Amino acid sequence: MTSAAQFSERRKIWRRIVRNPLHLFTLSMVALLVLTAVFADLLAPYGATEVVAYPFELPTGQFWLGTDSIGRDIFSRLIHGSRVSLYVGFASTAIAVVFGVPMGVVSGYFGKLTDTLMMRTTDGLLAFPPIILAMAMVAVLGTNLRNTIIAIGVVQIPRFARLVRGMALSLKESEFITAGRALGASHVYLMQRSLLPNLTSIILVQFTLTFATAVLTEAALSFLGLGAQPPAPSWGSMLLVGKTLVSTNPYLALGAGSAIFITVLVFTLLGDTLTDLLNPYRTDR
Amino acid sequence: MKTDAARKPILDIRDITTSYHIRRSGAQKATTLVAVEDVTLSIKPGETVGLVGESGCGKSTLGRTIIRLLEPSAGMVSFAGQDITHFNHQEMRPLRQEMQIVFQDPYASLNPRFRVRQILYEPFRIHGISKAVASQKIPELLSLVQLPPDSLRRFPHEFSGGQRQRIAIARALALEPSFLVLDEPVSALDVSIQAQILNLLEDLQTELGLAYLFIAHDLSVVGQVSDRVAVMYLGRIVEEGPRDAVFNSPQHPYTIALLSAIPDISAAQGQQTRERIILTGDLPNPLDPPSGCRFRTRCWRGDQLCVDQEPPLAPVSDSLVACHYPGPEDSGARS
Amino acid sequence: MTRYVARRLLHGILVMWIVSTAVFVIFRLVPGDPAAMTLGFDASPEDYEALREELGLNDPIHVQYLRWMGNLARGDFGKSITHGYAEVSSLVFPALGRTLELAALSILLAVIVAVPLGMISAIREGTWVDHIARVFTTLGFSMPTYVMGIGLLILLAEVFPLLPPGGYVPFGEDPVKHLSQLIMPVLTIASVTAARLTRFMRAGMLEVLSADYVRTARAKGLTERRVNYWHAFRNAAIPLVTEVGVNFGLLVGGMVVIEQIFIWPGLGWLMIQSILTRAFDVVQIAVLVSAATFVIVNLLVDLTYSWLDPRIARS
Repeated sequence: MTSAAQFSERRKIWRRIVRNPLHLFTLSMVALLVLTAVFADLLAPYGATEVVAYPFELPTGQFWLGTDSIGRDIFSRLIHGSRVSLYVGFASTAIAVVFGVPMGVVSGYFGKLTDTLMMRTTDGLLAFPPIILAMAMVAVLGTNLRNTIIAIGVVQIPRFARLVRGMALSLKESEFITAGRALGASHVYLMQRSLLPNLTSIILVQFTLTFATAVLTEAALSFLGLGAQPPAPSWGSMLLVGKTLVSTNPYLALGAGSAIFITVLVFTLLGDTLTDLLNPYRTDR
Repeated sequence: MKTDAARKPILDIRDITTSYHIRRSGAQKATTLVAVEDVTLSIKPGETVGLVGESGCGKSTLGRTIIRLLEPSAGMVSFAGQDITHFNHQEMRPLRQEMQIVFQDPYASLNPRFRVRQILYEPFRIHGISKAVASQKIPELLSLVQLPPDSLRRFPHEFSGGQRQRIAIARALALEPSFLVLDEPVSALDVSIQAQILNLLEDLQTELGLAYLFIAHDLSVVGQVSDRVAVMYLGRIVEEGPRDAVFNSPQHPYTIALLSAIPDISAAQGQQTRERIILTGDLPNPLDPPSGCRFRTRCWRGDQLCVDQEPPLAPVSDSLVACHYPGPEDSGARS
Repeated sequence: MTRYVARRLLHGILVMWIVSTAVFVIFRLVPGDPAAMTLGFDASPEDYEALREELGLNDPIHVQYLRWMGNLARGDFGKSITHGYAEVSSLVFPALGRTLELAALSILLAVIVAVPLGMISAIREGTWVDHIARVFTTLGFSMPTYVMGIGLLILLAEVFPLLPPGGYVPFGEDPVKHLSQLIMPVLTIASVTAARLTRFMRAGMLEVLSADYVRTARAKGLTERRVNYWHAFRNAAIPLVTEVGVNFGLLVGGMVVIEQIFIWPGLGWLMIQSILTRAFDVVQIAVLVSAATFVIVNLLVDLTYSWLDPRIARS
């Protein structure tokens, strides 16, 4: 049509990022967090479980945030902790997507009895407060990081299924789906090739929001002693130590608390940013 | 057209009834909506049959039943001599290459996430035709519908309505079908664009020998392209015949009313201008159609017979007409 | 209306059935049976076998399921082996009461703050009041309750030792101490909840303020003040009921961490203690009860909503 149409999608998105300072900030923070997690071993001055000084050293040029109750460098442990958090966040959200998205697509596409059964099941699962369900599962499966990931992921499955099902339900009536049927496409083909590409942006946005929730839940479970076990450098476990020693060394909790807060904030903002960037019908001024 | 009469029809439907089950919230039982009732129609190779009626009269449902996107609850559909009435998805698959559909809204019928190249590749992919063959044919399709070659890497939303409809037509033609259902293919377009698309469809028909079922609510559009015309009212065909017969000497009051609403065609042809007939009343509720003749609630000829008996589709001059009192408006057919 | 109530009740019962089935599945069908989990790894095979028999674990799974559902239907939550055969209900329900106390007070405080704040923020959209309110809500949205709780704990119990760092004394025993122990957990939960409710209230008000009938009311010559406070408030407040209900339901389950921080012996605290002492007969009932509370609260909210806005029941 006009020259605006000549821009490729990618360039359009790029322009939206550059023009919005909040998008730029959010994306840089996400990049920073991810890079920290990936290169934790190179960035952290000391190892995660390395005893480097006396306990409870105050912050110095050598130990930026001081040392913890057994003399490990707190700053280094926070950096290593980002890896635990982001890994759990990613892996558990991936579980939710891998199971929740197909459930939602099938449920919305076929409707009728399939849909009723699936939706009543999710009704039941959604009646559990998320952390309670996760706690129950971890309690039964055993407390370790792998089970934490499974529990957090499973809790989020019905949420993904619900969201995707709603979208699939409205999309399946579209004429391009009927056109696909007229071409002789199978149900699997239509769900996979016609419905799914139209769901990617909403799934992506939900992914980031679920990711934030997963990071939060992992820290909570570890704080309760049901997640990562010592000496793993989980922010939640570090917060637990901080809380235990709050009357003698109140600052211990601050680093881990801030790290959790910032990560959750950044990924929540990323959800807003993606919603804005991926809207194909938005017109740029 | 006389020469066509000898040929065997590519599509033949007999006494087709298609119904929907509707469950209204709060209602205890599902009600049945009979969208198409007792429709018989046949289409010969290379022929265009126009199907007209108001929206909601069941013409789209009929179109979708014919290509078996819907399953009829009674009657028979046969395509190229094969009874496909109850074919399942797998059995229909090879036939999908032979019959295709173009929808009314070219904004809804193209997957917004696909580039044109992917949209046109879909038919080949679904039918397991190799990518090499497809990539050879896709540019040909594009030139067939007169779109520039660089369209392939663009998304549907970058095109105008007419261009999108060309893409939809190209997709329908990809597998070289012999029969197309055109479900109001131009009613969403501007008048100037309509003519272009209609010309394109006619050119394609001549070039590829296609048969069309052309569905529209606009009789003038149907008049331009059809060899034969069928008029539908509330799920039934009320008049069917050669285009000229239906247009020049309509027999059913409903057809007469529809034709009278077309501005100036007859005047331009130097014939007497018809008096415009405005139908009073709304289309009756299809869930609860009137007894006897369905059109009687809006008809000026109706009497007790029309209330008591449903008129059968019977030959009147060159056409088939379902009316107890057929005939041109001022011929005084009523005794 | 009656039919709507009946339908919602039926749906609630259906959900509770699914919930109890899910609990049964989680606690029966996973590796390591309840007997092994209760006894730990170093139990003798004789003790293990005796406990299996006592718990009925040697019965076929469908018999166990029917027994589980039957007991629940009769309101029999069983006795806890690890708690000296105490009635599980005598452990769970007092804990639930303490959690509800915390949740109710927090929600109350949150509503008291959020409703006026959200309204002012909407009415004075774009002014500094609005900006401050929005910063508050954005931070509150991402602030994990437990980080907030520990922050308060450091501030109000350590840096400025004004309040006890946690614990629980029944109101009847020492009302002043009871209330002072309530302050920090309530503040924590209320501030995070208030952030959500403020955002909700602000959005609702903004939507209503731009709606046609408010403009009509303005045209009819009502003063600006009456337009804002009356029409808009009424219409924004009704959906808020749902939001409050959802938050309340979530709080009952989600306060585990807060109860742990402030050593408040509510349902979440009981769950953690029971998990750590392997009292799975208590854990499963605690999980069930917290989900049931959520379902019941949602049911009450829906009914309230349909009473406030009868269009819902009719559609």
